[in-house]
Amino acid sequence: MSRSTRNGLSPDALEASAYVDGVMDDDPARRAAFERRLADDPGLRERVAAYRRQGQALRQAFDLLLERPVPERLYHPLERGVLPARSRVLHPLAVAATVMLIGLGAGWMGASYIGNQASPAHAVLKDLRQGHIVADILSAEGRGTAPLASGIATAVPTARVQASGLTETERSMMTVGGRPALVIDYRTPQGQAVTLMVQRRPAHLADTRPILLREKGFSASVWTGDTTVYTLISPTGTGPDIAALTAHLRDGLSPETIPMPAPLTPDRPLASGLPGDGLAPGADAIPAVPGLGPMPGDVPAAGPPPEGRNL
Amino acid sequence: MDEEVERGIVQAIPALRRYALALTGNWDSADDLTQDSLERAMRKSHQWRRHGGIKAWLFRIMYRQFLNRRRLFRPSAVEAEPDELAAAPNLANCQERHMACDDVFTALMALPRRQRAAMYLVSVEGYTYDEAAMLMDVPIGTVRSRLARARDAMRAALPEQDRTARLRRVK
Repeated sequence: MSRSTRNGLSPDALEASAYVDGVMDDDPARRAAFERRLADDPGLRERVAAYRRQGQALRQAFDLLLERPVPERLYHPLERGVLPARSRVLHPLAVAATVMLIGLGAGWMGASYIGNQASPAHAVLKDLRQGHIVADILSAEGRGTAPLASGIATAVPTARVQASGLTETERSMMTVGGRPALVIDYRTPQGQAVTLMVQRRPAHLADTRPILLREKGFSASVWTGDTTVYTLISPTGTGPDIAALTAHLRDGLSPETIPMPAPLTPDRPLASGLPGDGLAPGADAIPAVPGLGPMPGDVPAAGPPPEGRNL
Repeated sequence: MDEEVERGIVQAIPALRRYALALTGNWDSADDLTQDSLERAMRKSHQWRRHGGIKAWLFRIMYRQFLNRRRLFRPSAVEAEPDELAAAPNLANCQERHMACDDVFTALMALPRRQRAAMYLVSVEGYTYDEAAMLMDVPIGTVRSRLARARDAMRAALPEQDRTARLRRVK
């Protein structure tokens, strides 16, 4: 039996709600009185049962939602100060995801993956679509040299990489995350695809040993050198064991930034105006190309290692 | 801001986003509200006091943001297109329950926004009446009445659960 209403609100609703929420637990007399009413009133029992079912269903419904990936942009407000631990992980993960998408161009990933992916790969998809080859790199026997910033370049000891059984299939300069990146595609002796990307190390990326990243469809490892960050990535299932390959390559693969070699010096000034960074003289040392922009705040900084699984 | 606070904020983001969904009813608005709230929290981080927990502090900021900017964060079944609302949370059916998660979400979203917040904070997050009152900046009696009204409204919106319950008892 429902009692009279007060401002359209049943006193039974107030009492039943308090009972379900445990508010009466600290008042045994009130609780006992309510339970006596409960025993005599089927309508009140029904109300209490309905309230409990609502709570169970709500908790169950919303528990499912905690599993959803959080968009990377929600971590951006925190990056204005000291970077939170998760962002330190997601940055290389986003880079790795970008390389995975570059892998689409190399043909080792199906295009259908794009439609199914979640953050962070999704977050960089747009960026990749805007990415494009920005410059040819200088190929020399045993070395691949590419501009990474104004006046500096990276030199990859490609001969050492190939000595470990990998065959280079393609190399290019691209913008990834707004930064120039040297991207080299390899094949293992078994024909498996693997991609290596070398970028100038972002200022906020702390020193790290290789971190293994596994996303749907691809695996990647990310590690840093003094001034560069390396990402090795392969498709899941058909690719090589990325952890083993990283361990094998890491010692021999030690490209670093170097002063811009003379052959890379352009015959015209840089129009886009990359800032000099003190690593080497010679601002305006690489051709002005679309998409090759400055790197704000690009000052090497130490910090705690990012979270992740160290190899 | 020290690292402990940063870590607390990062850990609270999934729960914050979930609360935003409960307030707004769709993921796009929820993410916008979450981002706005985080930006405000960063600006006001010097106001952080250690009592009550970081998550509660963020929840309080979010609720105020939501009320202040409700025209931007279109909530509720009343304002949202039915298709948009139904598709937004992408909930699976609750198993072994008398009602589907989609149904209970829709019923929650049909509540007035202040009742919805009270219902969410107490029933889902498990806050006490005192805590919910603090988070919504209202007297505790207001929390009580909002909860009771919300529960009665949801009960009316979900009559099938009672029918199911009766049938089960007959067996």
